[in-house]
Amino acid sequence: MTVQCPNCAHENFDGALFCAECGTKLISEDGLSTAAIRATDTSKGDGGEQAAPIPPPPVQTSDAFVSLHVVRTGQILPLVGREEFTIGRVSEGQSILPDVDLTPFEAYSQGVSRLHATIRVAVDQIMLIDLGSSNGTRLNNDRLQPHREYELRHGDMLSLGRLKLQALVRQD
Amino acid sequence: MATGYLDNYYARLGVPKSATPEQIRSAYHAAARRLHPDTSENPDDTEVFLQIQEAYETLSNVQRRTDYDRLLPDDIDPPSDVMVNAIYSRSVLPTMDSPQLVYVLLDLLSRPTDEDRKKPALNICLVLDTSTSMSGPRLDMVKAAATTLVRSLNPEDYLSVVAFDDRAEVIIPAERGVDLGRIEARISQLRTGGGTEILQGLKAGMNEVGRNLSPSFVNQLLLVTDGRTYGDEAASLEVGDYAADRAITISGLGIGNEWNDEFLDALTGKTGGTSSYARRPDDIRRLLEKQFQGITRTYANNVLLDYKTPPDVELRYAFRLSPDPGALPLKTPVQLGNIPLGPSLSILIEFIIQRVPEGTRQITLAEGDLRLKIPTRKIPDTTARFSLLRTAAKEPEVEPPPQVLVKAMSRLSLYRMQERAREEMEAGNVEKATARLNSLANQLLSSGRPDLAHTVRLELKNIQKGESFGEESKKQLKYETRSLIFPDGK
Repeated sequence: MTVQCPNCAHENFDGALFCAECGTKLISEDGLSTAAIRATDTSKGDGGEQAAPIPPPPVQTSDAFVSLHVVRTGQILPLVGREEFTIGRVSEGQSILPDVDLTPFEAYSQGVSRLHATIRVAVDQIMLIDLGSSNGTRLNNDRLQPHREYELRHGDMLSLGRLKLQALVRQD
Repeated sequence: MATGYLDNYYARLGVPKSATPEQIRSAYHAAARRLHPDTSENPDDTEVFLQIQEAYETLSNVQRRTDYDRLLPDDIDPPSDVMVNAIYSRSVLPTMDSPQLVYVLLDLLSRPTDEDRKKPALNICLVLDTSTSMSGPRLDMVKAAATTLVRSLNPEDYLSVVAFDDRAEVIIPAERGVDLGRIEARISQLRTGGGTEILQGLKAGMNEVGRNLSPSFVNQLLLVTDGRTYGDEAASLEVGDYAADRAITISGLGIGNEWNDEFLDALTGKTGGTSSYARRPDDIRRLLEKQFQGITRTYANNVLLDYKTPPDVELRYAFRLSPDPGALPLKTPVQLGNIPLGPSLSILIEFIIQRVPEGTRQITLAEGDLRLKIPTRKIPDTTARFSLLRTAAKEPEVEPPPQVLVKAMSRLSLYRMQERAREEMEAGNVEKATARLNSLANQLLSSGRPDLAHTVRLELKNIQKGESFGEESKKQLKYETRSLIFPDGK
């Protein structure tokens, strides 16, 4: 009997707690640290599995290369000053802080993990990586495999748990 | 592992119940030499000596020993000197014919008496590299750190200092209570020159520690180097074995990028010691003082796990989580290092069980002796029996593993990934190493270390250009992921 890693598909020995190949945690018991989202919530909220309509991206006013548009409030969060941005929420007693704190947008009840995802800005492309979050990350409604890189383009819709963000990339 | 305490003849001599007549005899002689009223200066020792003599008189005679053994309960051994706590990844193992892994977190905690809370007496030798490359700020910082260290010694501590390049020179022979001013002057006069031959320094250092070797001291050699030693690594490792046999701990500090961290880990690991890495001269003082502090906060040293596993069970990996994280050499007995006065000595062990046949009720993962020395005790040597047991059942209920174990392993997994990426690079398996470093970079990010993730990404670019793994990045990753396992002050 073996345990297959959800990230790299490596077959681990029974009883393994972390993948021997890629280090991904093979057991889930951290539902306590992040509000778990029940399936019913998602379906009544914003369409669940059905593809949500992608709204037209708002006009960008900041000169940041990449910004995040919080769909529900209309707020725009420019990502400036570095190449990598961790996105999550701050909670009490936490030593590791995300670069982008979504606490003001009810991140906890929306199921955002403390360190949920990261956005990496490279010269020619922008990558999105889910950091093994409890409720997962979706990119245009496709669920991401944790710790794997996905390309992010202007206008893409991200769901961190249930919180919806839209990626805005400066169009030069 | 049960703990309990009985004052018994075996505990008095510090030998296991299974000790051979020869072990009993030599334990008695070693204790008698130190405690005999004719040689000891301490009047209290006489009473202890008489107790030991009483024990020896019974245990040295086969008939008397057999009669005495009959009076003892079956499981007499665990003494009260150390509290042992074992946490398992599974409380009940499923019976199955395919392999399964079991993790055990072993916590050894001191139970000090007031006497033990005093600093143990030291018998310490500083072995300092003074090769040409040490010139300038490196040697200046080492001198400053050595001076601070000398000033913090107690009058009953033995200190010696050896400087080495191609040859070794004893700068301060092992002595105690000597004029601080003179020692400081001699340290400040150190000059650089020549190459690095660690073997020379080690031999001279061992010689100095050997002069006053006693289980009542923390016997320690502290090696500081910035270079790679050529041609004498194997011989130096033999000195490591020799030190381990005599319960002398070797710790090391490597400065800059030239020294061989794998060698220094192997050498210090043999003796239960550890290595640390000073990237810049500014780090030297802090790291040396930290190592020194660890030495003076010792409750028990030379902690050994002398174990046996049944045929279907193998101990695959052992790692010291605290203090001084590091992989442990698997040769039995396993050198676990020191039990500090304060935080516990914490070891993570991975077992693989090939099969647990149906109908099995209980399975032994390992059993044997836990041996250690408590320098502040009249009889420093202590032995405790241990066995790691689990019950087994057919399709037991699935339970989440204990949080504390999962947390320890998640911190360890970053270290293991860099370890394996290095092995793969060395084996020429660039593709696998690249994939692993990529995962490591992402895991580092989610652990809140974008700086280290960045180091990995830069290294990946170099590797893609066909370059090898940079020495500085290699060391930085290893020692930083190590320090993530046990952050200072927890």
